[in-house]
Amino acid sequence: MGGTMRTKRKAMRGSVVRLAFLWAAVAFGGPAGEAAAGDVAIVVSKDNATDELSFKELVKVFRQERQYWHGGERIYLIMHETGAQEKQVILERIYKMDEQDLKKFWLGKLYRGEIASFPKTFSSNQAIERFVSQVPSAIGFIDATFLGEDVKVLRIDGKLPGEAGYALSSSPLSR
Amino acid sequence: MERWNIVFAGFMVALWFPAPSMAAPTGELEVLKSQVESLQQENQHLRKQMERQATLTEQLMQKVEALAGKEGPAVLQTGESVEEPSQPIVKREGEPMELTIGRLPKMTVIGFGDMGLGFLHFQSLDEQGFYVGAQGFTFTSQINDRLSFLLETDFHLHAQPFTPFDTFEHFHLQRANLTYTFSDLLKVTAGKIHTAFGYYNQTYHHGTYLESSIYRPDIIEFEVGDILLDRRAGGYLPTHTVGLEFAGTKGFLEAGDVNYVLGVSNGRSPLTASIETNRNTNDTLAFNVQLAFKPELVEGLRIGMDYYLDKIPQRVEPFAAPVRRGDIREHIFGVHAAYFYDKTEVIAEVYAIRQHDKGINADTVDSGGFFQTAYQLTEKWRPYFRFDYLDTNASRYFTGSQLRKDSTYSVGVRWDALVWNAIKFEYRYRADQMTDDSHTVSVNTSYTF
Repeated sequence: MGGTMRTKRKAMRGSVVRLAFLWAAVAFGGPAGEAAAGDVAIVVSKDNATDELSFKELVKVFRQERQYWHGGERIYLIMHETGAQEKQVILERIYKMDEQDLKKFWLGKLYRGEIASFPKTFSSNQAIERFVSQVPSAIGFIDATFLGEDVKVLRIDGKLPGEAGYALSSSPLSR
Repeated sequence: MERWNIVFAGFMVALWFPAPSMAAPTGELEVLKSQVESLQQENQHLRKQMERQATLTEQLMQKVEALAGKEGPAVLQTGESVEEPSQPIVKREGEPMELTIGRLPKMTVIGFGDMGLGFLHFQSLDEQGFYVGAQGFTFTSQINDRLSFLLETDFHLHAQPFTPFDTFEHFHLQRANLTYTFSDLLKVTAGKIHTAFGYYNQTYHHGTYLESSIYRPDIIEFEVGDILLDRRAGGYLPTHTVGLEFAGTKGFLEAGDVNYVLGVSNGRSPLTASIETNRNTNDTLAFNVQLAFKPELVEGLRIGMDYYLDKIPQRVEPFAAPVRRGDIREHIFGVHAAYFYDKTEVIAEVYAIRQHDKGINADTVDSGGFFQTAYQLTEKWRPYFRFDYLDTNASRYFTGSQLRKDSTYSVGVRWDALVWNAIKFEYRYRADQMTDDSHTVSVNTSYTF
């Protein structure tokens, strides 16, 4: 009888341990997955004193409601050409409008005298990276997979491209 | 039991490191996610190839041009892009971007215009006719990192009183100003500007493409009224001014942004239709202040208040009749709210014009306001409604058709038929307490170029 009871208790302990392992496997999953491809990185020159922006500040910079860095230099906003995939992320997350509405947006600001010229655009990630790396007060955005070593990537709300919860990820799940 | 433990261990391994067949996504959502990721990776690979080819093409073009003896950077222009500089950029302090990338400071020109057809029923009169609205040009230039310039001109048709002619063409200098920006907190503008009243006057002006409706709200009609069918006159507020303006924006305790404007200017002319562009008729300057707040909690909302103080000179010969002796001390108070979010537009403004007429030693109060709402129903169609009211028959500064007491209901729809061209259809009913009611139906096309 005693042996039978010991055997039963041993079996029960084994079941509990197995269940615990099973629960841990389901809760914490397997090896962590890679960040979604196509995150948009906000880049500035390495000579720019700014290391990070909150998402709200980023929106103000891109809407040109804020036009000067804290050091007093004029912010030169550099954009992608119409149709670029990176620009679609920016249109959706920051401007919350489509390309045509964005053009009307710039037109209204110029008409009101809030800006005196439209933001400059470049045709490629590499061109933007080269330009931004040489102009300390410029800010642009590129596909994070094209990042080189000549520019600095700004943290947005404390996060870099590829990190969970990054505001400009192309993955809809990270919003 | 040993056998079951082995089976269980095997199950745990499979769960943690699934075999390819077991890792295959299940469910429609997982399948779609997997497909999207594959396409994204393939897209990136292709884009990298394209960029490598673009760089190689550029290098080859530089060599070709160098061999051909041409100067200047090779370009690979597409659409609206800027030529990529071929030389290293050396940014000098204060230098405008255009010089930095090898070009002269440049000017941006945009044009606005509108024209239309209207039908008016007033008393026993039915009028109909085509009209050409203001056709204007706005020139802007970023002269250097701190200084910018704006010039706005238009060709305008408006009524000439006391002549046998209905209209005459007029070339207006609507705005001409220099702005020096110290920071986001302070910029100083000198010249002829739109007076900081409310939201509408600073956002929408000559050329109706940017705004939803055909007509401006009555209370902020221009000093020189329009000659559209109902012969509306304006000038209740000094919508233009010439002087200095200090303005800026500042975050306020994470609650939102505060915008301010402080202005000092020549002030009003003895005639509402005249703007003191080159002179100040009296010895007094006008002052105005605007405070506006954009709360973080409500995205797209702006609320604000305005105050304007001036001394209006008396109106004696050689100015046109009626004569008005004695200066007028004027105070204008205004509040406004504007909400633009997603597809919704709401603008509301109210003004009280309080004047002390020294000629008759009397105080008068005139008022006016409007409420406008619009909704982007589809990509191209935006219906709108506006209610205007005016009670401006107390002041001796206003004369003739400016003396009004009425409410106007406007309902219309804006159709963005083509890129940069909108067609608007509007019906207006004016319930007039001083004369008969009127009905107006208008069709308008507005455009920018």
